[in-house]
Amino acid sequence: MVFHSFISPNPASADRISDILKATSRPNSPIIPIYSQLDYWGRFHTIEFQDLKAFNPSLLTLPYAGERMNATFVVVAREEYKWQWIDGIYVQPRHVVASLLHLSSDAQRRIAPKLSPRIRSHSVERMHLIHSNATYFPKCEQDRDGQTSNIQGPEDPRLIWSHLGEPLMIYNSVSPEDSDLCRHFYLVDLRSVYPVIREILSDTSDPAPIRFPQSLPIAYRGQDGIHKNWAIFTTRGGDVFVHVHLIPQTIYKINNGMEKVISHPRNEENCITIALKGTPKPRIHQSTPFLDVVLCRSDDDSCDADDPNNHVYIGVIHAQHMISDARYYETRVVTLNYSLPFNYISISKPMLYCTSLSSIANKWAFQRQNASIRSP
Amino acid sequence: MNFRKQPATLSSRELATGYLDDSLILSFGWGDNSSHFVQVGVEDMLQGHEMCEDLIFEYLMRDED
Repeated sequence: MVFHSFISPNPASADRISDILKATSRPNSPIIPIYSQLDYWGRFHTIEFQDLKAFNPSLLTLPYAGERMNATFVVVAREEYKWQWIDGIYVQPRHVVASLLHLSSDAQRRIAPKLSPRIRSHSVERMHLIHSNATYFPKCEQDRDGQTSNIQGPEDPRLIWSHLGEPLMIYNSVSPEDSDLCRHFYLVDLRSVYPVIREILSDTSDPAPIRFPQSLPIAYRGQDGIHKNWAIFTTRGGDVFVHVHLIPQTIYKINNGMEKVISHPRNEENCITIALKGTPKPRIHQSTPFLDVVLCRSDDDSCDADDPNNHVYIGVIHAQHMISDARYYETRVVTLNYSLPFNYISISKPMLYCTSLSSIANKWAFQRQNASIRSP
Repeated sequence: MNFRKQPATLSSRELATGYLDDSLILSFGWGDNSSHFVQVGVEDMLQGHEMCEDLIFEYLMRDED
């Protein structure tokens, strides 16, 4: 058996972090229900995009300057599946859209629990990301599913604020000419591809210079196959890292290319494989960037937020289950040590979004609809 | 996923780091055809975690048995 040993770079720090995490509430429930603070009934919000449909969203909260543009958040998402005949070939054009969302201050008012609260976005744009007009991508012949050989454009965008205050976006699209890969990841500053964000941030104090003005192709030496769900994170100095695999934990630093900083043997067990025992490893993947959390309250004067020993990274991971032909994602939160080698520190129980009220409301709406149909 | 601070901060740098009393915006899709989000407390996302150290220790003990 190969095993991922728990090596803490600083045992005292690990003990302190462990104590803080153990001191959080410890519900007996096998799952952790997630209730949204934005709705009286705890339900999730549904985003409506003007004149189009989009899914797999990623949101960034905007600084106060966003209010001038009626914007609490910027959201990027993949436009709905579309198919098109071009020169007798069936292709998938594929686009990523960006838009702004404004959250009204009365979001928590008490109303009857109907459907999920809806929020309409504005300033919708298809971003000019890496895209090709080719109709067939021979480098994708290796893809056994054959699903990618006609996809012309970008998908799966993820946003993060870097520690320098840059709105960074990672996404994947067709590969550059000098790459043998089918699909490629790219990193870009959102200000370069969605100008309204440049305008908003120019109104903030001391906006960060743009380091990634164009989509930077990122790939590592020896990379092959189709990759998805890379998670980026940054350090206080502004270094950008990519968490490539959860199992085995594999991390690269973006530094004139990709420099491997953490890798483990292929068959090694780790905290995640143990917690999710029984789930096939290829079905476990990261789902969000990793964010920097100070394990203190913001008004705790006794806590030194500059002490790296008071920080962890937090990210969401998914274990995919197949129920009939439908995919179901088991959501969990993972914490990482704040410094190299970024060990896993903890993992949550499965988390479930509050949807039961929606089910009740759907049933209620259905009954009402039937009643009105029957009424003369 | 990203932090939300209230009141809103003036600096985008501050949005890269969150405290236990900040909120997190979690976004997700539904069946590849819709977009959703929730706002939850950072502290809520850290409740009831299993510590890797403990999981690994139990795993090793079971393996030795």
